[in-house]
Amino acid sequence: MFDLNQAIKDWRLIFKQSEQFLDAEIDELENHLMDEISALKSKELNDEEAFMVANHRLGTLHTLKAEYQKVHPNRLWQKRFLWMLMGFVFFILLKSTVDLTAKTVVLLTSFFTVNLTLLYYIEIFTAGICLIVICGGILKLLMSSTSIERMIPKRLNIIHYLLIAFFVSIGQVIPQFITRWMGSIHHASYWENWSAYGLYLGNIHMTNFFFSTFFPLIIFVLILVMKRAFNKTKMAY
Amino acid sequence: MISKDLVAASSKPIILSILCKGENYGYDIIRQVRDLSDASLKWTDGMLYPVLHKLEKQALIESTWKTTNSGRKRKYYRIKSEGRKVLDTERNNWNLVNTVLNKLWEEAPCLT
Repeated sequence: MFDLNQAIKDWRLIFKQSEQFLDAEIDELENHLMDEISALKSKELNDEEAFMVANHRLGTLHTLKAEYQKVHPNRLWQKRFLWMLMGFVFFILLKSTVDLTAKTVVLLTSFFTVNLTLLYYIEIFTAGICLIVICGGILKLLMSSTSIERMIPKRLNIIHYLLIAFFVSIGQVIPQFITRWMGSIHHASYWENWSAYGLYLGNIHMTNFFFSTFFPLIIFVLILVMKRAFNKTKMAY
Repeated sequence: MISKDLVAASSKPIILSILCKGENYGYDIIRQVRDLSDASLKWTDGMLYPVLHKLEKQALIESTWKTTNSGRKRKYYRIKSEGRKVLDTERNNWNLVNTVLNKLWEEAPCLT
């Protein structure tokens, strides 16, 4: 049995996936399709026939995409670039979470052991576990796609950006700060463990400091600029 | 059957002329073109929208979303003063072409 609503939904999805069309443009085309279908149905066509004829008159995805591309030649790449940046930010977020967890565990365990290599392996091991847990969680979310749709806000506002920026900077700066601080302490008793481990890690990760703090900042500025440019093209319609 | 090139070239003055009569939305514009040309000027329906978007980008027309009586949202297009000026030029150009062709055909109709 032909379901008109389902057919329209499927039609929408195909257009959405092509990445060339903005939601408002698909709305406009869908409106046209609906008008045509109701006009055809008044000429005694059934749902399925009306949908097929209206769809044919509207034109195929391929031809429409080519025409829209002529008006907005850069849009596809803008969208793709935005996705790439999003991916990078996600990577940094992941790294921040993992770093923070691993550092906390090392801080706690350094009370009980003096073995620097062991501490290092504990850090790596914790990071690994953390990564697996997070990736597992994401995979689970992806499999139940409805819940991930609900979790991601439709439009990111400035508060979302600030939250992400805050978390990224905390996740990147605090672990580095802990390492540096550990390296700078030269007291007696258990502080020695931290101090030694801090120096040990400091030697390994000297160059990381710059990249892990300034790089995310640059990326964020880039994303904001891109978003603004993208919204400007959006506003024109 | 009118050639694709001619359809594309004439779409701008036709759309502007229809919008000159008052604001309108895509489906009705296409319906009017179909009626006026006795269905011999055929547009692939979807092609109209990129043209409308292009005209909007050129600031010849502007658009607003409105809710119809049936509760559906519809995008209406309206001509701007810049669009009227362009339409004037277009009208002169098309009239010129028309006059030239008419004169040529009056003098000596091409026998085939």
